[in-house]
Amino acid sequence: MTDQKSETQFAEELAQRLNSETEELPQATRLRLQAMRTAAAASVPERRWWFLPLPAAGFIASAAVLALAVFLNFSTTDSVPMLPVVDVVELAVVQDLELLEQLEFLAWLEEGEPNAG
Amino acid sequence: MSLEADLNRFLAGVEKKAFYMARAAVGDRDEALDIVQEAMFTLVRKYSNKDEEQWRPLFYRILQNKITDSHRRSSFRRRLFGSRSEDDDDSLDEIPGLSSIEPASRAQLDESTAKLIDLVADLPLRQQQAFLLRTLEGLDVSETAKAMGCSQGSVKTHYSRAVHSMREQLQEHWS
Repeated sequence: MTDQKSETQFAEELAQRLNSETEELPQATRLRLQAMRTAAAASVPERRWWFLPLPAAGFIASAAVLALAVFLNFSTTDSVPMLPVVDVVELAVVQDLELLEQLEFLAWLEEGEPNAG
Repeated sequence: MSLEADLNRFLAGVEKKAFYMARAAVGDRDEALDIVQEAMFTLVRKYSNKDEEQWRPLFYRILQNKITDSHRRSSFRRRLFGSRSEDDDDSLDEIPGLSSIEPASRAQLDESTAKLIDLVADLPLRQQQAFLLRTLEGLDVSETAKAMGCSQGSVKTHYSRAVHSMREQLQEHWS
């Protein structure tokens, strides 16, 4: 135990001496280290859009699908057959159930319109 | 605070110790600086997206890998061009530590500190790594094991051997 304790004390003394030693680097070395550090820190890679956090990416995908659905809905004419909503849903891989329900509701409304009129 | 500023602050906190470790291991100032620079850039480019508390063990893991690579390269060069026998397989442990302090600085050191520096430089590489990571950087056994890529048991063994060896040799200087 005593031996263990003195070993710890010895290691602490070594650490103190080495720590003070590392602080006394020559000026030229310190300047090089500083320059290296600054250059390294400045080389942070830019964040790519595909590194967006999952919720943000999901939101953007949902918004894009919704915009596409609205665009297709408004641009429907007699000469251009409308792309069935079901196909849109299948083409765009959407995991948002709420959005799917909205799209199904829109499809149901569309089917019901001739009967109503 | 920006990521760049955080990285700068982190690197400022480890650069001197990292340089000391690299220099003790390879014995050459410029090569040690190159190793530290490579470790800094690798950390920033590959791991700056990790949580900040992971940077320190990652940085030292990278540094130790670079040091080991440098030893292997030196060993290969010496085998190719030097006079070592081919069956000498403990190359990682026998790179001369050199007296890696610049002569001008060395003249200012007291005898026992100079001896300490020589002993650290002359330790076998794995013992030196365990010893410096534990004492100089203050990593615990688990962090040191991660940095060295070995088990905690190995760290304890290397560290204990290093301390025993230095204690024996420093006793006459530190009474």
